[in-house]
Amino acid sequence: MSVHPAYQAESSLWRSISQRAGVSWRSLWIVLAIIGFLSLPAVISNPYYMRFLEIAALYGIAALALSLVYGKGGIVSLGHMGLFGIGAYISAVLSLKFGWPVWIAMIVAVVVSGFAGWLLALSSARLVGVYLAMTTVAFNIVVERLIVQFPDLTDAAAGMINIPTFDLFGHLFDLESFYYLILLAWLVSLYMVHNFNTSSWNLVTNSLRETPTACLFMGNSVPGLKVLLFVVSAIIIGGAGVLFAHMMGRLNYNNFTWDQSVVLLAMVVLGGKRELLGPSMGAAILIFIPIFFGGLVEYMNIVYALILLFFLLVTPTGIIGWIRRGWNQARVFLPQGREWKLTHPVYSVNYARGGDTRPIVEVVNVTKTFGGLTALRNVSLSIQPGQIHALIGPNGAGKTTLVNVITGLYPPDGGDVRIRGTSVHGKTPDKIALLGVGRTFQQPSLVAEMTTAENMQVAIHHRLRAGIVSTLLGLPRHHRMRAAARSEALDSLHAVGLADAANVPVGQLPHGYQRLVEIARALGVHPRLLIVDEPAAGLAPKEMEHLQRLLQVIRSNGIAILVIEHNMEFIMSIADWISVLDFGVRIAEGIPAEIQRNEAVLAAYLGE
Amino acid sequence: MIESLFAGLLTGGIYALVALAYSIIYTTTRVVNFAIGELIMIAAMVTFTGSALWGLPLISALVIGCAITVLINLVIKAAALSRLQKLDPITALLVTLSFGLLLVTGGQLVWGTAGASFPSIFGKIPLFNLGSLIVTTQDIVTIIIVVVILFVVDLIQHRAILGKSMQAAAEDQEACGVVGINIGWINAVAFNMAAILCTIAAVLIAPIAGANVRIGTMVGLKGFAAGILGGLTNGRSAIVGGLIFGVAESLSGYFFGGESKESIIFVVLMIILAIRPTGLWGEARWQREA
Amino acid sequence: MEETFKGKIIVFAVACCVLLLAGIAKAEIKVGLGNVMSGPFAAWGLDAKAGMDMAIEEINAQGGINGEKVVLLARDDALDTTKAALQAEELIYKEKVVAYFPSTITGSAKATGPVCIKAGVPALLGAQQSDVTCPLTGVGDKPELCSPWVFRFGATVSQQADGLVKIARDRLKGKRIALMHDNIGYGLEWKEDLTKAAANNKVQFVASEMFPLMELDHTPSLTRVINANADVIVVGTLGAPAARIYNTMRKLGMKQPLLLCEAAIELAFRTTAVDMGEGAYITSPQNSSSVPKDPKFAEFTRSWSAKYKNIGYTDVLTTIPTAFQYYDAMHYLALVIKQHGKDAKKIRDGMETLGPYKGISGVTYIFSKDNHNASSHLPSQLFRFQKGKVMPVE
Repeated sequence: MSVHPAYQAESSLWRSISQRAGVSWRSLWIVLAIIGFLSLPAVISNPYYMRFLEIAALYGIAALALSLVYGKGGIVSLGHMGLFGIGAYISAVLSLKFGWPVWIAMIVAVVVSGFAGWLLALSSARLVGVYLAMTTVAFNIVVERLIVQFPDLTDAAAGMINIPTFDLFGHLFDLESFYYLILLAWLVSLYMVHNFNTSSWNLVTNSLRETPTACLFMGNSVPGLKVLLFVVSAIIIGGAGVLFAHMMGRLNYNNFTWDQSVVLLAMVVLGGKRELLGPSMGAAILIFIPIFFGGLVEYMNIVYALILLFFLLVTPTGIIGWIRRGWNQARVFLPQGREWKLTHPVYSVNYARGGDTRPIVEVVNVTKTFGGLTALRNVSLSIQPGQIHALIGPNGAGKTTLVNVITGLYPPDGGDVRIRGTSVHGKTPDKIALLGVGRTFQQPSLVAEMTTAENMQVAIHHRLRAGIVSTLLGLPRHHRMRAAARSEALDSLHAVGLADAANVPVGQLPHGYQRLVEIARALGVHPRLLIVDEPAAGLAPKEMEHLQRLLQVIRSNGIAILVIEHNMEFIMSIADWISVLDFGVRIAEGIPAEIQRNEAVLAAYLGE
Repeated sequence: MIESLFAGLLTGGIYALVALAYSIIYTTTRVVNFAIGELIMIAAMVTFTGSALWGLPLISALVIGCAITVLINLVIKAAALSRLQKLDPITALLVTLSFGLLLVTGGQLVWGTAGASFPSIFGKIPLFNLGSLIVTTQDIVTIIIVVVILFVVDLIQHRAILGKSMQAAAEDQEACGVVGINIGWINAVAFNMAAILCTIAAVLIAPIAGANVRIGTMVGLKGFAAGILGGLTNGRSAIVGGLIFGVAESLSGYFFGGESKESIIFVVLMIILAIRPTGLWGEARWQREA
Repeated sequence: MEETFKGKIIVFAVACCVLLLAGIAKAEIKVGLGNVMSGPFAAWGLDAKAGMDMAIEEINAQGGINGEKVVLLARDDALDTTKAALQAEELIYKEKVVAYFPSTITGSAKATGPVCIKAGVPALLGAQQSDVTCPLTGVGDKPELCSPWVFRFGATVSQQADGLVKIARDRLKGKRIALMHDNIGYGLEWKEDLTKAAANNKVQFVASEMFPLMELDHTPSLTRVINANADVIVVGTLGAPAARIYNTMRKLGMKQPLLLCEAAIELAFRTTAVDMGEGAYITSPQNSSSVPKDPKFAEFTRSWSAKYKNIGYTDVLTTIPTAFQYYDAMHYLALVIKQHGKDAKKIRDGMETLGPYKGISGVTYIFSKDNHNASSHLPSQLFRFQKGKVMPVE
């Protein structure tokens, strides 16, 4: 995540060393670390420690894979050791029992793991909380039971032995050769996740985790994203499992039980679930602790439990987070009252200009009931392009419900909504967003820790992104798209007059600015209709002025705007057309001057 | 097949007790106490120690076992409940799991790792035959106890003022304080009821599973799974979930062989959750994103 | 700001140093034991450890070996063979044990033996119930442990198989002998070796039934055995499964003699069988009698059971003979180290040349350069379960 230079407080010592050397201090560290790891076998020749190092590295990869789903996606998975086990056993069985060449068995095993991850994603897509956790545990148990149920293949009771080792052009990999292979695998997985972290995929995933509804309305398929995270995660952890099977040469099914998945989760939590190196550090710690305890297993488990408790309750950002806080002790915070400049909006697009005289949105006799309550009753209205159409009414009139029906969150119980002629029937909100409907929300729905520009990218992602494979591999397309998306985000911010706050974590902006940023974000889906839900609430006078100007500029591009608002002065000053709802029924419609005099409207607001 | 059905109802009844324990704590405090499985183990082991090693009469040992289980559960409550209620569900899950781990490890230190067989309290006197199954006094008494307990708890939850207070606590803990319900006391009652259910479950399970420190984990997990199956937000659905889980597990063993019964039952659970994300009768209350 | 971070780094580094220093070896003789010490088969491993603990206590009471104390490092593998291998690696490469005692359980022994062989550390098999040695030791054909580094104190299954068949035929007067065995490695090995031994002794089994280890009701198999008119039933399995066969036989009213292999001496047989398995026969090359004639052995059993009552046993000979086999093995090793020092190769050579050694139970162990199986000369003895005790049959 990019942070404004003013907020980076790095130690001056490292900066001066690297400046003198002429390289980025981070690359220097990386090179030194790699050299260190490569020379480790020469220092530690003891096979026992070597094996533990390799096991730790593989669990580090596994924990990293889990952190994609849990740390980034916010989806708890207690079934990842099942995926690890699938990778390990498939590769072992194919190479040992069916005599396949090891490298083919490995590849097939990784593919099967990915498939299993897909299945897991599908079965858990609609679940949250403890139900989600339980289904992943169930998955893990099923995998572990399946391993036991085929003793001819898996020698489940005694454990599988004599698994062939990896064979590279005749060189049989022993413990030491595996070290280098595993080190390579670890570095590759770090590279892939690093690429992910710097792409807009990461930004959209953050949005998925923190504000899933907003993510959906910005044109991103939330279920699709969850599946993607699971599959990528499964492929990585399956790969680790494969290496584990062939390095160890033996497998026991109780290495892959659901309580081992809990241990893996603990590794992620311990090291820092959103850090790149966090999971590896957590893995190293939890794997190496037993070395110091030797046979005192009972005491060791107590230590495990206490460590877990500490990091869950006291420092939820994990060890790396804790170290990072020490490093950035003097994190500079925005001094109160810093004024962010609003420049005159110059927003201009050509996709919405010209020709189209049809209504952008036609709401035809829409009825919506929730249980016993009828929220909307036979409501019809029409939103014309290039117009600011206000939707007003007392609290509870059904305004937000109507917007939710238009944007596809609720299917209508009666009637239909047509967007540029296409019915919304059966369409998910993200598809409707891509038909050209952008919206903001009553409650702020930006990801606080991301910058303004990064939040913009959540809505641009569907248009300017590299495929997940290009991203993970760091192909040129990934870099191009990164630059393109960032550049468009900045341009958009400039166009709406918010460029000054581009690199500030949006959570630090004043409330009014956040509302303006939400509007800017919604423009990212290239909407023909922009829906703004109570945009004027809590705005300072300067921000209110900017809002008016912005909406007018947007309108002048031919984009229709639907505004829900309670602030009558504001509505009267910008609206071209007003629809009034009361108790789910449209009671009036017309130009502002008419509505102001309408008796039904007055009655609704003032009561009878 | 009738033997499997019968065996399934027996284990289902035990699962129902455990599921109910989870449900009572969850519906009152919104927290899942994953240490319940290990509490069952503690109850069994303390009772066993009292009767087999110290020579106490079984009832006294049972009372001591119950008391210690209740005590440990209260310690967990005092140490962590308010913290847990503020955390997201998964962190809370991990925290209580860690408590469970501490209990198992502590148990290992106290009782060692080898097991022994748990005396059958109600005697294994054969009573009558059901197909090729010999039904013993143990089985009948198990059924009676389970039915009575479930009935009593249901009565408390739906009739007594206590039950209504617990429902109120589930909705809004602070509001309860305002209307004069002592939240701390209500929560403690919920925890104690769960601990007592754990002790009863322990006594019914231990003769089958033996007396060793590992008996709690799987029972705790399956009881939880059963509760989820039925729906954790409602005591009755948790009970029914327990029965369904037990019977389904037993019948899978009958039709597909004993080795596959666990994989089948958990696949079934996954399918049911995919169709009904909060369990068969659970409500989508208090669902925070994990 | 930098101070706090530097402070954290310093603390971390110091902690690492302390932990590393803690691993620096002291002047001790370490021996390693890997066995199953938890779960339903915990008795096997706990027994082994108890036997070794007693021996080591006696050795250290005499001042240790050449002035150095002996330390036993025991690891519980809980039947997980991968864990067993890792633990063996730990004891050998990290703790640097001078000798390693693999598990009583075949699977784990097959996992840890090769680790010893690769590292060049003597592996002393106290009491394997299954063949895990190679032609070097005179019997069996399992290549994993084919090595001069492996020594076996307990008799092998194939050796016992021969004795068992002879006993069934001659002492129990079996003319139509039926065989039952479980479906795990142990039972399958018994089947293989018993079939070979039968052929060698011109005996043919009239029925051969395999059953799942955890099977509760053996009516179908036993019905087939009855239909084959068997007059002696030989069973190759562990204690609890053997008990379930015994119980089914009682339920069916079968009167044929039941002849069990050595493993059924474990307590689980008598606690699971009706009437504590009254009347069942069992063979063993060890002195498994509950009423040993040797006063020294009787004294050993009394002090052993008094000391180890807390692991649930009240009479040492109600358990499997692992305790005193490991006891004997440890004393044997101590003698070798006393004479030849701690070097691995010297220990190996010393084991071969020590000569006949009389164990506490009265059994004499003999190793030689081409025989690493110290019990290969012992004949199988016949015992019977009477009132819960194991009584020799004359």
